[in-house]
Amino acid sequence: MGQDHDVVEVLVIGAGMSSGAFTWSLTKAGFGVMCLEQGNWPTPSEYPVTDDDWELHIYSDYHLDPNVRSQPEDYPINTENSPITPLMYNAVGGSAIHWGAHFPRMRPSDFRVKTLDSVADDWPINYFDLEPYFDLNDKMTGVAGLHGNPAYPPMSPRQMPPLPIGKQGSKLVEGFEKLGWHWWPAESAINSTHYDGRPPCTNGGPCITGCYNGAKSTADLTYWPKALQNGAVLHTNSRVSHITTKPSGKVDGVVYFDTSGEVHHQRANVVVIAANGVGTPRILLNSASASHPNGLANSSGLLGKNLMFHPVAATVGVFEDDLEGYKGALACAITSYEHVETDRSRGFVRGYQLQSNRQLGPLNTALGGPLERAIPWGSKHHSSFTDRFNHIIPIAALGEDLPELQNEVILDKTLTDSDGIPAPKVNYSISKNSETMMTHAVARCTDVLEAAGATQVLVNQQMQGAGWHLLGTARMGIDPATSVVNQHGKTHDVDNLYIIDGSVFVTAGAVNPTSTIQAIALYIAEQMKRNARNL
Amino acid sequence: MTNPQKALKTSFLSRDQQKLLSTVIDVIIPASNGSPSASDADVATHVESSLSTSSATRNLLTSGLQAIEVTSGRAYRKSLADLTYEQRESLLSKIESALPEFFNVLIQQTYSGYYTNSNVLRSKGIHVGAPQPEGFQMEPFQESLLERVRSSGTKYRT
Repeated sequence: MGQDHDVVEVLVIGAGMSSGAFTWSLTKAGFGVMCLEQGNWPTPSEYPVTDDDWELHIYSDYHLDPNVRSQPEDYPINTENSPITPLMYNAVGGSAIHWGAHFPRMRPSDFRVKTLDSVADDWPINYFDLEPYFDLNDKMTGVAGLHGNPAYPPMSPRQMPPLPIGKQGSKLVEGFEKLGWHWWPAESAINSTHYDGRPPCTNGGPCITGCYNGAKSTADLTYWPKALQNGAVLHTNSRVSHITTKPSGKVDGVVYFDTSGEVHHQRANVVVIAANGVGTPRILLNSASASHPNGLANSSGLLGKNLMFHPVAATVGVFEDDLEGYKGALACAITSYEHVETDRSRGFVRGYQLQSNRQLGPLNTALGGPLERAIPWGSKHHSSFTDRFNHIIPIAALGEDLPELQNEVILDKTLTDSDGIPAPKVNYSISKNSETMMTHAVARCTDVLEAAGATQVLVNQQMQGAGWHLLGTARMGIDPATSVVNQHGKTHDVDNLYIIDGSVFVTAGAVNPTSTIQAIALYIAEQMKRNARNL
Repeated sequence: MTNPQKALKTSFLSRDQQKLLSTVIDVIIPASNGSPSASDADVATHVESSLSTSSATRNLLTSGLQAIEVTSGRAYRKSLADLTYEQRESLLSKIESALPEFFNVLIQQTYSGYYTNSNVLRSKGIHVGAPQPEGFQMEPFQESLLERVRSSGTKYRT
């Protein structure tokens, strides 16, 4: 094993959305930061969205599920005990490369669920602590949206006007207006005008196979170029196996594999992990040592526990009108927060957000899209396709998953990646609260689709391929007995080890988490700068 | 990037198996109103090459095809090719229930080949080609739509 280079001041594992924001912030303040990323730099000109067979790639080399995609930079995940499949992408920019770029902030009550609703735990920080970092992150990213959403406290002006909502969005608005429900154009990390040197969206979609022209604001385009200008060092194709510790118990570096399988030891004064809610506990559990026998930063026993996805119920309204569902960004048209706050008369606590999606292309339509079951084959095939293609509005109801100990990421006993590093295994089940919530959500989505004129509503109450959001497996808290990191992102057990990704979420809210993940990363960077003398 | 499924053109079925596959996929997607049947859209080649990538998928296809013929022989004492369309449809429904993994893969690959074929898309009046870089024109968002929601009061707790 080679000893690589000099000791770096701060070493970050993973080059996704949190890491980009964090590294930019620290390097701007003059810190020396090295980042190790197991994937590559994405090349927008190679994204398959300009190929005629673009839809085939969604089901093969650009599949959202790493077990199916199975590219050299991916690691396998044992998902046999989970009705929701974890999804991720390994590259500079992280899973955002295949994300829909819906960019809402978590809401004030999301940080105070114990106080307000007597469930789970409050966060040690709140919305207003994060507000300056939300604002900074919005500015660095560029958000297309509209000021004045009554579901949020007053917010800083959005950088760009909302994306077009298209015929699908306009039709759905008719339903919301008839019912008198809240709705709002999506907050989108997609340019609707030129912003920060990048062009506006061309409304081509589908977003999930990468954005060819760079209108989608992933960290490889927003933060990383600026971080590199600040002096950050980023090594791709570098897969971290484990974090090393000194006899004192402090960490002193990481061991990683390059693509030839050669093993390196990179020493560091501070190690920061940003490998997502599955990858982060995997590496920390694989970093057990004499001083940390149950895994690094795991004296609470909570590392890997409390895994939260957002359960998603998919409903698809079928309409007589041609709604041009092939146009526009995939996931950034209409949102509704009508059912997001707790109303105990509904039979569950917390709530869900609705977001409309477009239909993608003909193949996705034939395979059922979010319904996850193909349209009929045989004599009814062609009429079923004609009924749906360009005639549907899909709505995703995204529910707040509550933290539960039995939902967890552990190391698989036999499965490994191509370097022999133990693979993660996910044990997860849907709670009764989530199940009741999703039943309610399906009924309300049916209401709004029918109010908008749907002649038929098709339902997939529990999407399997919904594991976009990987949260909670190294939760934040004041008490070392009940949390893994403190309110500044520092692990309770190790003074020079930080976690900055979605693992630190105490609760999940009912919104897509990337905006909040990045705001937290910027917030933790700020705390680290303030405490630099003690690093 | 080249799609590995499309790039690979490995043939592993016998001629009889290829004929049977064509018959099967034409039950799944028959010709209709100017749209070609699956075999006329060269979907059999796509299914075979897509499933040629491992011995497991090759075996899944060959054993599934064999099961279809065996079931057809038991039910009708005839090969699938000699049945009426309705009989073929009924027989494949039985296979769908009996061999769900095989049938799901067959549907996935048949639809994949069919709905990425430019002749099929043209026959259905669907835009042929990639969504980017040209993209599509769309009307900008009309803020006036939000008049009611804006005046409806706050919807958050702190």
